[in-house]
Amino acid sequence: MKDDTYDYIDDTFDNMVSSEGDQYVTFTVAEEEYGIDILQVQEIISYKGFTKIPNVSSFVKGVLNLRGAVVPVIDLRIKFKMEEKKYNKYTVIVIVVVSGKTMGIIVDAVSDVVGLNKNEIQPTPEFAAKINTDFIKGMGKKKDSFIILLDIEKILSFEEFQQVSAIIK
Amino acid sequence: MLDNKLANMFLMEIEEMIVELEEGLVSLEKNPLNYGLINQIFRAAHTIKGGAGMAGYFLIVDFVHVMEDILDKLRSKKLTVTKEMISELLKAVDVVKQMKNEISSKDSIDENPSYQIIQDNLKKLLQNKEEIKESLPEILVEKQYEIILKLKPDGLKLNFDPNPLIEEISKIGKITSVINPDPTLWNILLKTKEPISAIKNIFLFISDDISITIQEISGNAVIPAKAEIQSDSTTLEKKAEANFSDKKIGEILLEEGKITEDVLQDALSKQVSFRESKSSSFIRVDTEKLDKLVNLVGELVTGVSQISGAAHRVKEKYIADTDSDDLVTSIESLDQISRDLQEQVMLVRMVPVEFTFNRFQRLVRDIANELGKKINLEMSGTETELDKNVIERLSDPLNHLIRNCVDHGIETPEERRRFGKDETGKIFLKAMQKGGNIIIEISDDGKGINRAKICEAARKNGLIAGDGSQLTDNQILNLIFEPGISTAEKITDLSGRGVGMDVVRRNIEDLRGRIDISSIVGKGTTFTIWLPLTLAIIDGMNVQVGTEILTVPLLSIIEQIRPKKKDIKTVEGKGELVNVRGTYFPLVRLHELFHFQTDYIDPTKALVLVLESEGRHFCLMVDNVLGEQQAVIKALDKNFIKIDGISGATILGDGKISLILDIHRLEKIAFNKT
Repeated sequence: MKDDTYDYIDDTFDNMVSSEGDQYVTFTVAEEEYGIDILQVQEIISYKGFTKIPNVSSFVKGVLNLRGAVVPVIDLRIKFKMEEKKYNKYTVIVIVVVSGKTMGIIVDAVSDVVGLNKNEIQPTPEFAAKINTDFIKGMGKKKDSFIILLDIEKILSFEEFQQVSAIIK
Repeated sequence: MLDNKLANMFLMEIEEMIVELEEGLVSLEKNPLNYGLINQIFRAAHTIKGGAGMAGYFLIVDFVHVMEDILDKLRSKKLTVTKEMISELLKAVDVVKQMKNEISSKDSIDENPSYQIIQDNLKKLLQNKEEIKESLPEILVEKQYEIILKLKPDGLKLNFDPNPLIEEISKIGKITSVINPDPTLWNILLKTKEPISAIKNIFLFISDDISITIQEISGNAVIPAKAEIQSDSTTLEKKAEANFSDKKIGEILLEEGKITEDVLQDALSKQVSFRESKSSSFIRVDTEKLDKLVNLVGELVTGVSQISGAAHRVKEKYIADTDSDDLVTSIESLDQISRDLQEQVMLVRMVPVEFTFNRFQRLVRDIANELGKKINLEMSGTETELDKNVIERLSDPLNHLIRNCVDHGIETPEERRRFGKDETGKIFLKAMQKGGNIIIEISDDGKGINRAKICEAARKNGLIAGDGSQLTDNQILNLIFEPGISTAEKITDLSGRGVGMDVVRRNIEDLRGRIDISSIVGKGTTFTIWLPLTLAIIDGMNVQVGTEILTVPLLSIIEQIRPKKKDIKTVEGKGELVNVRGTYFPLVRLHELFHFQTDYIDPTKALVLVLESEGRHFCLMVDNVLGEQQAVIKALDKNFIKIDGISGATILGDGKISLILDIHRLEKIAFNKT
């Protein structure tokens, strides 16, 4: 009897989740809309300046003090080889947790939290232009919006940082 | 899950017990008749056995059981301590250590034939029915004691009856006479083999109203060894450890109505609380928890100093408002409290150097035996406390230095005799605190360092040109910290390959410490190590390069200068040198090394820090020096990766992050070394 009850609860829970789908925090970078799995987002803070780190990839803008923790920050515009934008007080940093490490991502603005069902996500297509699609999980469509879903672990791959630091040595 | 917990607890416990065993055995070798020590060793072995049984490591149980048997026979005086026995027991301790390591790496112990050999050797020792020498102090010739009990003037109302006491006394020897000349005085003559302390123990429960004098008499002459009985806690403590049934006396006294139930319970609880106070004064804390605490408190301090800054600004704005005064004063006291708190939390991580130092007794003993030398290791200042992380990382370099003392420093007994020295060499291990530093000295009274040999070795290695006559004595001595230098005549297992001293220096510099050497030929050598109190905090100098603020460890800074135009020379148009009072040091521009933008590109307008790393000097150019700061170090790779030339980060008073320079690596990067 007891087991059945649990099954029932589990089923309801599953239904609840699947009706809403996975939740994504969406933000804009150069008028494109991107999304990150909400479970990886810790918080969103405003820009208050960084401390530069010597001899690392250019997309690593520096480190900031997040309540005593030293947190590195990367700029998606530089990572995606887009035009750089000057930071101001409206610049937003999304703090994410990737494999136990806390990091910040600079974005233009945070827009929303959306739920996407599996049928609302289509796989990454091939592009004529030479762009790196390794860190794109898929494309989300909801009503009029088109959201590029990012695989945050691939974007913040530590090997990439390390390669840079190996070159200096 | 439960098994795991038990195993972890056991591993933690066994580590301490192994240390206790090892230290106990080494000092037992020097004092073979110290039965207190044997008991202590036995208890350590017994604890290991018990813990191993509980955690289910029966191989350890079986193995330690044999050790325990030997110790038990030592305890009951059926065996005597021999050098061979100590050596075998120490080997057995090594086996236990190995077993422990196996458990911690793979949670099981493999059968190993060498264990069996050592166990068999132990068993052989057990069968040695060696007779005990008659010179044991515990088996004394029968002596005669005079015990005088005297009631104090107001003691009469106690209605004192000495009979239970006399009965008790008769249990440890033969009472030859009891004289009772008046109702307040008893004079008892006792013949016994027991020491005087055994007699004293009987009178522990006697009230203060009775004075007790115990005298040893040989023949009729009274030996002036008087012993007054004190009923303070120290005697109680001895009593608690002695093998006499204290309750019995207490019970007798109670039955006789000589003491009240309360007094007895009080005395007994004193004993119990003494025992408890010994075991409950320490708790084990996961170091990770401590680290978190240290971090949090560090943040608290920065947080408060940020508020304090804001409060001062508010005060300036509303200077007439008394509320702003109150705000500043209360925040200032909060600031002070948080700093005191930080200091206390830092103290929690401190542990005495004693445990690390004591391990070297075994090392010295083993190597000295192997080399046929006689060496005493003497220690002082073992209560000096140091950050746990520092101590752990200090163990290797100290180990190496002490090996060197034993191997190269101290001469063989014959040599020492020839030089008119005591056959037994001495190594001193000293720790002390001086200001914000801990100083550790390792010195020996051996043959000292042969300068000519160092110079020769350095010349062969291309470290110096010529015979070294142009170098100062100190410079020559410091050559031993260079790679590839050894003065040992023969290469031994232990040392002499010339690898090591350079590693020792690097290890110590990694701890942000420094090492010095002094040596007198024929008299001995002294190594002095300076260490910071803790690794979590660094004394730093904040410098500015462009928009960035960086922190340079104060320990590496020799001086700061603003060079004049004539003091800067170039080699081949590029390599810049700065003349610092007659010596030219290479110039490193930090902004170039780190690719930072700055307007200060002229060394005569900027500031130059003269830095030292591994005995080499170089100049580091920065824009400006901002001031000193005690910085709480945060690791960069916690959320990021390690950056070459940066040892960590710290949070400045205004909440910004400053990177801490790793001078050692910086020198390597700047001069293209890896």
